[in-house]
Amino acid sequence: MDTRLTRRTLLKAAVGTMGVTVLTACAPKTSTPAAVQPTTAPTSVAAEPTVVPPTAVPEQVTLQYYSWPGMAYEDSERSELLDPFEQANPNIKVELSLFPYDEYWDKMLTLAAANNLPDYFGMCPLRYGDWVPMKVLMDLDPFVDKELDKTKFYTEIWDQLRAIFPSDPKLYGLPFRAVIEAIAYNKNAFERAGVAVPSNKDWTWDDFGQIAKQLTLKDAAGKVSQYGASITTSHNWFDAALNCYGGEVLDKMLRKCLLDSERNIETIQMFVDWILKDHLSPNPSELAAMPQPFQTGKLAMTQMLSCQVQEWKKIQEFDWDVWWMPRGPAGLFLYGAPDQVSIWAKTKHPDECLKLLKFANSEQRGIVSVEAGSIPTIKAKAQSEDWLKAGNLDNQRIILDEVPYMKGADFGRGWAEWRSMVMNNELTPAFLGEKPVADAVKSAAQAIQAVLDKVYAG
Amino acid sequence: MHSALSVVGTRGWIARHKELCQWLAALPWLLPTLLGLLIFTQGATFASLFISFTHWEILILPRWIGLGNYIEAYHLPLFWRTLKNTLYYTALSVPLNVTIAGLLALAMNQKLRGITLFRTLYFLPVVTSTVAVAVVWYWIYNSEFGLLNYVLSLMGITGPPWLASTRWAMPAVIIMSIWKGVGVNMMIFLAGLQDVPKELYEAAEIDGAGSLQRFWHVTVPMVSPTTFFVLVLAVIGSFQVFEQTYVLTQGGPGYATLTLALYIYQQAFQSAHMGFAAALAYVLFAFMLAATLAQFKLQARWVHYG
Repeated sequence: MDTRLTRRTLLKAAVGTMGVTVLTACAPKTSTPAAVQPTTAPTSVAAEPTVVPPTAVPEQVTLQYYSWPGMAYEDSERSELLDPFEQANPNIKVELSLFPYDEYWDKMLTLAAANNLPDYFGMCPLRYGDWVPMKVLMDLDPFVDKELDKTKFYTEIWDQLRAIFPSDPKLYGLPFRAVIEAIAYNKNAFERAGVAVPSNKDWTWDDFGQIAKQLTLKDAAGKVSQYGASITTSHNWFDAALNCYGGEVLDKMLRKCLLDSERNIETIQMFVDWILKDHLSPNPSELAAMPQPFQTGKLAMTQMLSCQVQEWKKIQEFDWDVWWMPRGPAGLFLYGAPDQVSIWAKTKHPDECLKLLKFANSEQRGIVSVEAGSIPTIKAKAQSEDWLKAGNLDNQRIILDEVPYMKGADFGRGWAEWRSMVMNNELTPAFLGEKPVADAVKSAAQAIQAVLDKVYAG
Repeated sequence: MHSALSVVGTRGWIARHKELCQWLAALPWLLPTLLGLLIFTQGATFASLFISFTHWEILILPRWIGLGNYIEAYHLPLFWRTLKNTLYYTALSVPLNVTIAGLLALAMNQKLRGITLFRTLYFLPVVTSTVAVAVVWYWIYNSEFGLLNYVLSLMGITGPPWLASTRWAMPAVIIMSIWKGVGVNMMIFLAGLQDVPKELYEAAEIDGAGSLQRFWHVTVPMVSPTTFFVLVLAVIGSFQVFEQTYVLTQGGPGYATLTLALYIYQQAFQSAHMGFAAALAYVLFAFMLAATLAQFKLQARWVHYG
């Protein structure tokens, strides 16, 4: 027999291998045998004993819970929420997966497109406006109306979420905490400059500027060794500061940009002068080169998000505390935003998800997982001694007192694009002194409107 | 009898269609790669062409808008800004990259002890992850604590706030890109240099040519095909610059480093404007194609083959 390997032999082997592969892949799945179901005996006329069906065993369910570090911490989320919940509900297991923030949103978008979202996931107001029109979030208003006692919650935090999508103001997520803006100040820096620490609740942005100038110190070489404050275009304080002077960034329906009003241009010019003329704040370039400027003592005062208390309470180099945000001629407006969880509208386990949501919003949940400085939506938690002492601050109470003045940052559709990318990039040249403020603001307004027109065109 | 006749008939058919049979024999081996290319590369390419004519935001169904995305890009100041940034990057990085790679190749083309070590060292950045390199350079460029400004300060120069400066951010990205990518071009040039016949140098030397003249009249023309190859690839690569700007600056400050590739990524995967992003991708492709065709057209003037 000729055993030479010929082309014909090779061709036959290749075709045969491919055929086997294709057939194996296409083989129908053998169905698993159906679980034996308990049967009831048919009732009959004769007096036979009735068979009682066995109690139905609750189905074992695993919920997928996705979030990011900062929104949830593995240890505290497990110990305060998930483990107690699983103990109370033995048939429900919750698998928590945390992803870095930027990666999280790319991943969630991909999962949404694949119709395969996790059952329960972190949502933030910055993205909420884009996710609501996707129709993938469960409407939680029926749950809230039925299961929660609204008097026990800071419903004004819930209302912040409703305001993000005024044309559909349902709760498509349930906030479990809010972060709010406050002024952090370095007590030692005030002492060095011989300036009294803030004590007037009704201080204004003009007062803030004056105090920041006094706090700005230079070394022997004339280089600034301590800045009075930091002035940036961050949405964490900038937009609310414009509101304090009577300006708006977007209209009420969040579709028209109002940034280029004369009032806004004047306010922004004031902030730019603080940087370029008074040097009481580093410019964006200098700030970018300073890692952790407040923690390293470079800034005497700074705007801070209350959740930063969690990290800053570890500062040992100096004493610090928080104070009220300054007000303007139009009143006190300060940034505050809810963090929430949402449930996938198409989850296979809606009841179990709502059970978890109810537990997460009950007083059984601890406060460590909410983060020191972040305001729990449950009033009893926020007003507890544990929370008030969690940040080791004398004035932590102010964070709670600021809640009635909290305002979002015009979160709505396309926010991540028009606010994070466009507005910051368009205004930066003005803050660097490379472009007149009026030109930068007008250019920003046009670019923002272009984004809004595009997102609402769909 | 019949089977014998059919075998003879088959063999005759094969003999008459030898080339086709050879192709059919190879097909099963090529099929996995071909299918992968067709579905995941070419298929995606044609799908994105279709998407570029639609308004599509992931979960909202695509809506045909014809040239709407292209017209929108034409009228968008930010699009022209990103194009300008990309051309700026190309205009600076390509000549520098090619020149430095050529000079390094000349230096490495020596028969010296330990030369292999140097060739390896110059090639190491090429095989290192761009993201890892960018993270390290991010700190090198820090204006307060960075190594670069410290070295400049030793020479009495106050370094700029590199990545935080609208003026210096793009040069900073270019410097990092050249450092990262010059090694591969150096190796290509090295191969080209080693292919130059030694007799040409000997003949030139006999004719009295000095080293500079030998370089200009022998090396440069003989290496011109390699130079052309490196130039074409460098231009194509420069138009696609993404990782460096993504990690170092995210397109800032003030759009100073927002290149077209990064803008496409932001529009597609951060803002979910898939149709618009697909249109931008085809615009980028058109520019790359035009640049490459121009280079091929001009090669007759300066590339010497054989």
